[in-house]
Amino acid sequence: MNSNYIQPRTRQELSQALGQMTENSRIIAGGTDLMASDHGRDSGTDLYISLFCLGDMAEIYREDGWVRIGAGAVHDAIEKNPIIQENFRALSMACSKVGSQQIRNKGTIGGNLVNASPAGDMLPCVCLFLGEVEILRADDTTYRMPARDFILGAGKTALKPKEALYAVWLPIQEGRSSTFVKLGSRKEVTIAQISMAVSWEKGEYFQKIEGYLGAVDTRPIYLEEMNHILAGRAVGREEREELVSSLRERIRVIRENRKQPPKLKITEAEQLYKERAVRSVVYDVIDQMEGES
Amino acid sequence: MIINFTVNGKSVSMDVMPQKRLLDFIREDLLLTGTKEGCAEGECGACTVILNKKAVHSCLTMTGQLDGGELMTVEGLEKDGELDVLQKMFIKKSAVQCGFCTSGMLMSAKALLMENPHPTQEEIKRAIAGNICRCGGYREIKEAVASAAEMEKEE
Amino acid sequence: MQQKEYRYVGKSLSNDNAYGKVTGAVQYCGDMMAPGMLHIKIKAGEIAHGRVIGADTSGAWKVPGVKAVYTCFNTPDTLYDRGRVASYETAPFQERLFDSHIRYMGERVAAVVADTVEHAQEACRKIKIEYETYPAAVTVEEALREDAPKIHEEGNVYEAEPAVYGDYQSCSAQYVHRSRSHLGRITHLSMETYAVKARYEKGSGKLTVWTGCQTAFGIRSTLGDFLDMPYSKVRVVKTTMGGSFGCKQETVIEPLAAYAAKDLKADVMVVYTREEQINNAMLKHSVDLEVESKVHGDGTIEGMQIKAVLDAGAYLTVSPSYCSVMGGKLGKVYRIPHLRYEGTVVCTNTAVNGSFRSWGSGEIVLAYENHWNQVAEELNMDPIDFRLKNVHQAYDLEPMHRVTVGNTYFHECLIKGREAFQWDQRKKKCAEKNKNGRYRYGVGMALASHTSSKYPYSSDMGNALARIQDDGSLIVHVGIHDHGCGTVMAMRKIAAEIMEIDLEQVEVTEIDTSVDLYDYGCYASRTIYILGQAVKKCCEDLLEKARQMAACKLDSRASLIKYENGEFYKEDEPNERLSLKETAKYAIRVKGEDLYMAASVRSKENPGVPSAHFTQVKVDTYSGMVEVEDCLSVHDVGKALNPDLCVGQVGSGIQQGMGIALCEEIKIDPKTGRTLITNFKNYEVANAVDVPDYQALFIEEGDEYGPFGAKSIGEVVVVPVPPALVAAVNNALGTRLTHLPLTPSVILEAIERQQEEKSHDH
Repeated sequence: MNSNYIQPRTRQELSQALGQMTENSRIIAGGTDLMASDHGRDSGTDLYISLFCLGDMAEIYREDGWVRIGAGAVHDAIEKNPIIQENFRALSMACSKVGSQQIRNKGTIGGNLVNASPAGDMLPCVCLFLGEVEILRADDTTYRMPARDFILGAGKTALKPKEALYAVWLPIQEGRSSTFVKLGSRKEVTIAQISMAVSWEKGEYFQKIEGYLGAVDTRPIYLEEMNHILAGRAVGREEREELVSSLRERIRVIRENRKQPPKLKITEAEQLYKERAVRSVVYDVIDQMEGES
Repeated sequence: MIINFTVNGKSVSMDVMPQKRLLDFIREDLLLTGTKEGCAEGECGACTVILNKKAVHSCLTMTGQLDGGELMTVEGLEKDGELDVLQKMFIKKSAVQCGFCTSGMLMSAKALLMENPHPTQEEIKRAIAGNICRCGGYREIKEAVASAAEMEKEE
Repeated sequence: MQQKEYRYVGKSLSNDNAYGKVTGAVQYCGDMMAPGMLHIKIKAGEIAHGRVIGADTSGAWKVPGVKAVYTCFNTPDTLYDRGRVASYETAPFQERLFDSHIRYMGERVAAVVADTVEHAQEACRKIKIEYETYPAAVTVEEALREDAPKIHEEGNVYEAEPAVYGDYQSCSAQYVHRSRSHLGRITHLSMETYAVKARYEKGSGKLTVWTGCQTAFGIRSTLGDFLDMPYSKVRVVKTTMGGSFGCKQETVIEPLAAYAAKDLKADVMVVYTREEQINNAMLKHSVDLEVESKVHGDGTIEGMQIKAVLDAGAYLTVSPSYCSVMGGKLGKVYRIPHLRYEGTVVCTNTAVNGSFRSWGSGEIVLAYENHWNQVAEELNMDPIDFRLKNVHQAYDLEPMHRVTVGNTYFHECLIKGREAFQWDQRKKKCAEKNKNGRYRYGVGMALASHTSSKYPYSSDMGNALARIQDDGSLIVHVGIHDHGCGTVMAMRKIAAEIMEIDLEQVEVTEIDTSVDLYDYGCYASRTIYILGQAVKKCCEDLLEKARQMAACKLDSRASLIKYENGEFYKEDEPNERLSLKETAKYAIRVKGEDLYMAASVRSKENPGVPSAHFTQVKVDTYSGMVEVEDCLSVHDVGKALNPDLCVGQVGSGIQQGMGIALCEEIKIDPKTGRTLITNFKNYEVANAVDVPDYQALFIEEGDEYGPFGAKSIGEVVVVPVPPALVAAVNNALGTRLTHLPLTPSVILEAIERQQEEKSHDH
C-alpha cells in the first residue's frame, strides 16, 4: 500500500488536498463504487482524499429557493429527508432503490454522479429537477454548472483535475409532483436496466410534464414526447401505448447504433429486452402519476 | 495515520494504514474474525458491520474512515456474557446453519432494530435484502428478527 | 405409523455450535491465522487455449516477503484428479499443478507464496507469462466438430456406457412425445469460498491440511500419492464449513497448498476470492437433454429414453462419472418398464464444470419432469393425476440401481401436497385470472427422489467409535463432514438418545483422518442414513458393554441390570443407582478396561426420498419478471431428526431452485470463452425479498434401517423446484419454455412470439 491518505475536516483542508492531486489520485466519498471496482487491491493510486469526515458535505438544507444537498449526503439520508420527500419525491424514491441498505447507508449522491455510470439512479433525477452541481477548486473557490452538462456519459463528467464535486443544488418548483421507476433484474438490490424520472404540474390533468429515461444510453435522455402525449388529457391505454412506442423506438435506435452489444447481452432476447420491457416502466410510471394525483 | 475510535464500546487509539480495507483491519489488526469476506464487492453482506450506528460493508470502507467513529462488530453483541436478544432468537428460531452469513445478518438486523424497534415484515426483508444466505430460505432469519423485536418491546 | 416421543430426536433444538456462530467465535479455515503463516495467491491465465512458453518471475521476486514463485517450469508435472475420492478409484487424471497446456481462460498459470496476501497478490501481478495461442473450442458445437482443436490427447468427447432397462425400441404405446430441456451453468455460491491451510512439519515430516471439505480420506489419498508420502504421514482435518452444495467435494486447491507447505516446510494458507470460486473451482454443468417417451392412452408410461450432452469445461474431472450417474437415476420415481439413457460429455475451452448438489438428479429430473408436465397437458390429464398413475409403490424395484426404493410414499407426497397447497382451487383461480391483463398466474408441480446412500456403487459402510469418558460424558468419532446443515447435531441427538444422557454431555467431532475410521465422504446424501446407523449401533453396543461392567460392579448379571437416564440399577434394587461416570471409573480403576466401542454398518439399501414441489407464480407480461407467490415442498424423509433444520434445508432448495429456473446463470462469452460473470453483481441470487414464505411438509413413516427411521434431505430439496417453476410459468403463459433459466428476457421474447403467432392466425 504505497498511497497517501488525506481525510480533510474542513473545506479549506479539502481544497489544499485537491492541490496535491496527480492523475493517479482519487477522491473517495462512501467508497461503494471505488472500492467495489478495486476489490481491496492496490490500484496504483498515489493519494486518496477521503470526504468522509467533512460534516458540511453531508448537509441538506434550503437556501434562497433552492435545496442544497451536500455531495457527501448518503442515499439513506436523502431518501428520508422531509425536504426532499416534499419537493423532490422522485429523488427520494430513487435513493430508496439504490443497492441494499448497507449501500444506501454509505454511498453518496456525489459518488453516484461522479461515477456517472449509465445505470446510475441519481442521474435522471438530478437532470429532471434542473439540478446544478457545485464544484470546488484547489484554490478554495467554487462554481456551479447544470447537472445536464456535468454528466457527459459512460463514466465521464465535466469534473476537471484537482476538482471535487461539493454539492448538488435543486431549485424548488412549487405545485409540481414527481415519481421514479426503476426496472432491474429483481425487486430489491439490483442495477437499473431502465429507469424513468418524471415530474409534472399538479392539476386536473397532467401539465408541463418533464421526463428522463435512464440506463438505456450513456447518459439520461430527455423525453420531450411525454408532455406531447400525456399533457392536458385523460391518460388511457392509447396514450400509454403511444408513449411505449416512442420510448421503444428510442431504445431500438440506440441499440442499432451501438458498435457491439453489451458484453452480457449475448442472445437476441437479451439484446431486445429493454425495448420490450419499457412498457412495464411506462405503465408503472403512469400508474404512479395517477396514484399521486 | 493515528485514528481514534471505539470498537464494541471500547475506546481505541491506533496507528493504522488508512487505505487498508476496514474488513482486513478488523480481521488482521483487531483480530476479530467474526466479520467475513464473501465477495469483496459489497454484494453479499457477509462483511457487514455497524459504523456510526449504520450497517455498512466493511469491504467497501477504508480504515481511515473509522477515525472519530463508533464501530460495532458481531463480537460486540454479547455483553458481559449475555447474548443480545437477536443472537438468542437466531439460536432459538434455528436461523443458523453454516453460519457464514450470520455475522453480517446479525449486524444488519441489529442496525435495523437500533433505528426502528418495531419493524414490519416488509421492513425486516428490506433491511436484510443485501445479506445473502445460501443455506436457507430466509424464513428462520426473518422470524428471528421479528421475535427479537417483539421481545424487546416487552422489556 | 405412531410417532414415538423422543427426548432429542425429532425435536427442534437449533444447530450444533450455534452459539459459536452467532458470536463470531467459531473459526472457519480462513480465520485460522498463525504467526509466520504464509499466504498463497494464484495468477490466472489470459488465454482460452494455448501453451505457456515462458514465465518471467523476476519482477515477482522483487516484492518483499516473497518465499516462492511457482509455474509449470519449476513444479512437478505429476497428474492427479480432483474428483477422485478414494485411492482405488479410476479417474480421468488430466490435471497438473500448473499445466503448460492452458485449456481455459483464467486457469492458474502461476502462484506466489509470500508473508502477506498483499505481497503475494502484488507479486502475482508482476509475473510475466508468454503464451502461444491455439484456436479454442468454446461451445459444445465447436468442440464436437471433426476439425475441432484438441483440448486433450484423448480427444474432446467422452461417451458414457448407455444405461438400459428393458428394451425401449420394442415400445409400441400410442402416444409418442419428445421434449428438450437445457440447463445453464450455476455457481454453488456457498458463502465461504475455498480456504485451505497446510502445514508441513520439518521435524516429523508430517503434513496436516485443514479445510472445509466433503472427502477427507479422498483428499488424503490424492495428496499422499501426489507428494509420494505415506498416507499415515498425511493428516486431513475438516474445519467448520461455510456451505458447499457440492463444490467442496473435490480436491481442487489442496495439492497446491500441500505442495507449497512441503516445499517450504512451512504453514501456508490459500483463500479463494469470489472470482476464483466461480472461475477456478467448478460450476454446475450446462446440459442439453432430449427426452422421448411412449405412453398409453390412459396415461401409463411404457418407456422413456433420454439423451444428455454435458459440457465438462476444460477438464473431464468428475464429468464422465456424473454423466453415468445421471443415467442411473432414471428409475427412481416412476414405474417405467423400458428405459434408455445415452450420455455424452464434451470438453470445451471454458471453466470446469463438476459436482453440484444432487449430482445429476437435478438435471435428469428437470428433463423428465418438464417432459411429463407436457405429456400430461397433451393427454388432458392433471399433472398430479398423471404422476399418481405412474409412481413407484413402496419397496418397488428401482430398475437402474437394482435396489428397492424402500419404504417410500410417493402417492402420499402427491396427495398430501395437492390438498395442503389447494392445488385444484389454485389451478382454477389462476385460469380465471388470466384474462388478458398485464399479470398472468400459473401453478406448477414436479416430483423427484434421490439417494440416501451410495449403494450400489459399492456396499455403503459407516464406522463410528465412541468412548465413555471417565466423567460419564461421551465422545463419538465418526467420519462426518457437516456442511452446516445439522448433521453433527443429528449424530449428537442419536447418541444422547441411545445413551439417555444430556445432549450437552455428547461431543461429536468432525472428520480427522488421523483419528477416524474410514469414511467414503459426504455425498449421495448418505450422512444421516449411513453414519447415523453407525453411531446408533455404536452407542447401543457401547451401552451393552457398560451394562456388562455395571453388572460386575453390582455383582449381578447383565440381563438383570436396567438402565435409565444415565444410570444402571438392579431390577430388584431400583434405588441403588450406578451412574455412567461411576461405571467408567470402576472399569478403569478396578477392571483394567476402557469403555469404548467401534461399530461398522454395511448397507445394501438405498431408500428413495420422494419430494414434491408445488408452486404458484405471477408473471408480469410487461417486464417478464416472475414472482413466486407461494410454494410448498413435501418431503418423505423417513424421520426428521432436526425438524427445524430440515425446514431450513427446504428453504435453501427453494432458493437455489428459483435461481436455477429463473435467474442464475454463469455466462460464458461464446467467442472468447471468458467467464463473463465472476461475482454476485450480475448474478442475482434470490434474496430475502424474493423468496416467498414457503411451506414445508414432512412425511415421516420411518425407514426400517435408517437411524430412528431417517433417510435424507440435503440434496433432494433442490431437485423438484426448477421443473415445478417451469411448469408454473408455462401454465401462466400457455408456453412450453424449457431452456433455463427463464429470465425476463426469455419470457418477453416468448410472449412476443406468442403474440406474433396469434396475429398470424387471424
